[in-house]
Amino acid sequence: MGSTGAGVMFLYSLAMGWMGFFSATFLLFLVWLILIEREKWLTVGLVSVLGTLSLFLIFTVFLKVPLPKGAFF
Amino acid sequence: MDAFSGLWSGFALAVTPVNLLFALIGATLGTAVGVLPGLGPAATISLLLPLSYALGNAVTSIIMLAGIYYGAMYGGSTTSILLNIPGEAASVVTCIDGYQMAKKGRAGAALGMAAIGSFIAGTGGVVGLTFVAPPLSAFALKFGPAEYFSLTILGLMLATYLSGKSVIKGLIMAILGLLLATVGMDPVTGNMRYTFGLLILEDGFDFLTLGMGLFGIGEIFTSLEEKMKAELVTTRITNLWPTLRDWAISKWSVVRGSLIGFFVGLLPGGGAVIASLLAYAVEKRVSKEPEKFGSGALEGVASPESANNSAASASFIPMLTLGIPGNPAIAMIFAALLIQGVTPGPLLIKDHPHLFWAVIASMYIGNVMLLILNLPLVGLWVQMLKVPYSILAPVILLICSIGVYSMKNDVTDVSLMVIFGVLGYVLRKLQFELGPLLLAFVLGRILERSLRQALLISRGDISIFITKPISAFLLGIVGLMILTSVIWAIYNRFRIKPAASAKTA
Repeated sequence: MGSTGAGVMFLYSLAMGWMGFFSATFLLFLVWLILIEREKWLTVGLVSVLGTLSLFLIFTVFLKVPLPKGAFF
Repeated sequence: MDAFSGLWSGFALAVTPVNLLFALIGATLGTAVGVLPGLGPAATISLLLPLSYALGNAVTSIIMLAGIYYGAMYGGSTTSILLNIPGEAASVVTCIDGYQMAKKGRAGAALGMAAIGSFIAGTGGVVGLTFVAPPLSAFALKFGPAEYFSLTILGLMLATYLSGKSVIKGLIMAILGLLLATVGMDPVTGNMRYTFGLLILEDGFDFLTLGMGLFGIGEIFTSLEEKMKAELVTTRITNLWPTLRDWAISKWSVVRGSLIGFFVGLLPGGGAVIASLLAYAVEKRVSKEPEKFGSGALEGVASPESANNSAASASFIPMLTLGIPGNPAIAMIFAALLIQGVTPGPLLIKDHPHLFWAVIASMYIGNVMLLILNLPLVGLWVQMLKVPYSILAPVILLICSIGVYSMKNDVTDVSLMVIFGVLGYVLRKLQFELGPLLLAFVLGRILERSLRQALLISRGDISIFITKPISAFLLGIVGLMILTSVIWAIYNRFRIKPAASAKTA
């Protein structure tokens, strides 16, 4: 399990550069919750959407931390 | 400036609304990460370092980061007592008797005693810090590069010896840390070392990338394998105030724990984890009924929980006065000071008295805040334990990524952090302690600089380290440590062999 997690995280670190931070983050939530934690679909959907949204609100809107933009978002 | 007038001016700065607010934020965050298993103070402080940089004010940000460290010592006991999982490495031994007490319906007394013991010990530790740090730093002003080199070696050796069961594994980690510290530009000649022509390695590895990788990300990878299926013993906590009988049983345990914690915390390489383990062992030894331990002895909660708090306060002493951080969390605060342009060491009190005294004053205030947060409000933290770890884990990973990225706005740092995370995961699996690695990495630069300065002074004559008395004394202690452990190892080998052969015969 730990090595799967490590692999996912490494791909994420590469993806955030070219896709953009928030699209990569949304994908990370999806992959992590499905593949590693094996959560229910409803939990996966809710946590991914709300999690990405709240990170956006906290870091981009409120704290104005610059994050990689990439190709999408 | 004597201690009293210093402290007075420190309080004047610490009670400004902004500083009070950030002391409260630090204490609250500290309790939260203490309660949550899998997230420690070292990782949290490293997460907030970039943010503290944005804060701009050195005093305010160090007040907050310090609060996280000593606050985590309060929170850790809650999880240990209610879940039998240490919320914090320094609360491992609290599980033994704390959980048994909770099973017997005495969770309230255990939590209450842990919080009160923490408060007494934490405040006692700060009193010690107030009076020990200034004279120690005045003494350390006599230190030149040679003395610093020897002191750093001693600190590193202590950290290695105290870190875990295997000294050899500790030494391997310390050497790996020193090696990682050499990557990048040579500080004297400007030559590139171990960069393989890669631009990102020219500045060397960043302390934060390494720390967050090893302690933040690496810990999550590890925890994925130990699924935490723990049941809360109870969610309704009653009778938090210890009874008179509880007091009578544990008042000396609190005092013993506080004293042990303070002296262990003073050692470079010592820290809250070792302090709590030692305090539990001592408590069991001095007890009139040692058989009680393991089945819910209040002393087994009171003493280690006191010890880890006074150790946390005391471990600020070597970091602030000598510039030698003793454990990973305090090393993170050391890095925070450097980021703010303040060099921890003998000159700190002289050059930045307002910072020094304001942080100490805030620790008195923070301990009062923590007592309130952890005694009447303990129910709140119990609720937090209901957040599933499966949701918490990706959030922690993401915040670590944001933290590392925002240092230099460079995505390669995020990849580097994941690589260190994998390193931390593998090393943990092989049962290596990561503390010596991180400390050696931090101390490596101090070690190299003082070594080369000392050799420049002596024109390359290495006898400078043994002709200067303080340096010779410090190296003597190092030599003695190595000698005793070698003799001990030989002695054990000869003692165990006959016993083992007698068994088979």
